[in-house]
Amino acid sequence: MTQTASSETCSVEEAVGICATGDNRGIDMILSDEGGRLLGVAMRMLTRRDLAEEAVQDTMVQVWRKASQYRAESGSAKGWLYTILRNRCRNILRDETRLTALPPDELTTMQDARQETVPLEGWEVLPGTTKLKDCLASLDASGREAILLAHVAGFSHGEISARLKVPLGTVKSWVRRSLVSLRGCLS
Amino acid sequence: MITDNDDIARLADEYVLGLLEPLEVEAVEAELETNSDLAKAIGESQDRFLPLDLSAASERLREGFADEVKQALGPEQETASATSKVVPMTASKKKSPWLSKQVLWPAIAATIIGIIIGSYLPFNRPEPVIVAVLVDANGVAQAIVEDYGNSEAQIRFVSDVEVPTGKTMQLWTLPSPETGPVSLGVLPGVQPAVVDGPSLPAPKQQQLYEVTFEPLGGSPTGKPTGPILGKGLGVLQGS
Repeated sequence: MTQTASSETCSVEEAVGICATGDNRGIDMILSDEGGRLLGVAMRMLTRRDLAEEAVQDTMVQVWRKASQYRAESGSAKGWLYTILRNRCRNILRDETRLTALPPDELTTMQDARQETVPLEGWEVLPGTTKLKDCLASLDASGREAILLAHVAGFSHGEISARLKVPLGTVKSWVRRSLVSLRGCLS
Repeated sequence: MITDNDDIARLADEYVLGLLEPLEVEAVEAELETNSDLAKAIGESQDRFLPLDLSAASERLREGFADEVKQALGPEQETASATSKVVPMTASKKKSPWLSKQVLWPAIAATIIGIIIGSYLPFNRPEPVIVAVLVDANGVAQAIVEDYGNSEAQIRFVSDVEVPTGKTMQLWTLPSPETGPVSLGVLPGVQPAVVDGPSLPAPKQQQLYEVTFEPLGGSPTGKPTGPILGKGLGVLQGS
């Protein structure tokens, strides 16, 4: 292992670059630095450890395959990495054949647990003080809830509509308006 | 090419939040290859929302997990080199086995099939404007779509397709990311079929086509909701 690969403070950018050269120590580096949190994000969305591990594994395969497509000028590698993970989690959630393979009681338990990922009241996802937290706080509660349900829990427009008991078109409108506000607030 | 800044920003955010339909995701990822403004907008959006990801409680990875992951990397790992493991889509596509399988082969196949269809099609039907070979997640061809550009499209299955009980197949296309996926029709089964969809703009090169499994009667939302049987990019046929 190179000095770089063994460094505890290696960046995800560096690790992705190593993957792009065909060196799988880049995978070790990412899992060493971010693996626990990757699993945590996947657990938050999927609520089952077996599915979460599957999502993280699939994510690393995608990172391995796409490493040379990553462009630092288009955002951080960490942001790229977590977006791949959440995409994979959502694919699992929306793969009907994948979920119906679960015993019915386990599927029910999982879906109930997903409803608890973002409690409707009194939930603040971001610790401490961040600009994003301030900007989320400035949104209408409905728009903020919709964005958090989508990003953190992997809900679709339809699932958000059902959860918040409002029409689909209303949810889409809330989300779009809130995203415009967030972009303005964070710019 | 999406050029409107508002559309780019909206698509980027909805892509990052996972709120796009599967076909829209495909279109955005295809456009990323050539649209640096869209790539930058997605990168910025990813970084804007990154604190939400970083807020998740860390879970302990079990021992041996990293080794299992590395075993799952597949043959690409064995053939990887500094320059040709995975060729960027903007670079030489011919060197990428993945691209050969997922994109180039269906495109070449669609061209060849278009020629064959033009020569031997036994039906009294105009020549297709565009042909797409729909492949599954493993790159195996499942169906061929011929879009006649006049709201009619024909589909033929080239694999043994098993439709799950209580499901039906539905054919979709994506005229543009702004339009979103549009249903061309619910399919009667695995036999060749002609669907008469809505009136749409003339099909464009690399327009996406997709077949999904939906509840009987078709998608309840008007957008694809079920697992994907196959998808592919259309190839315009020469006059």
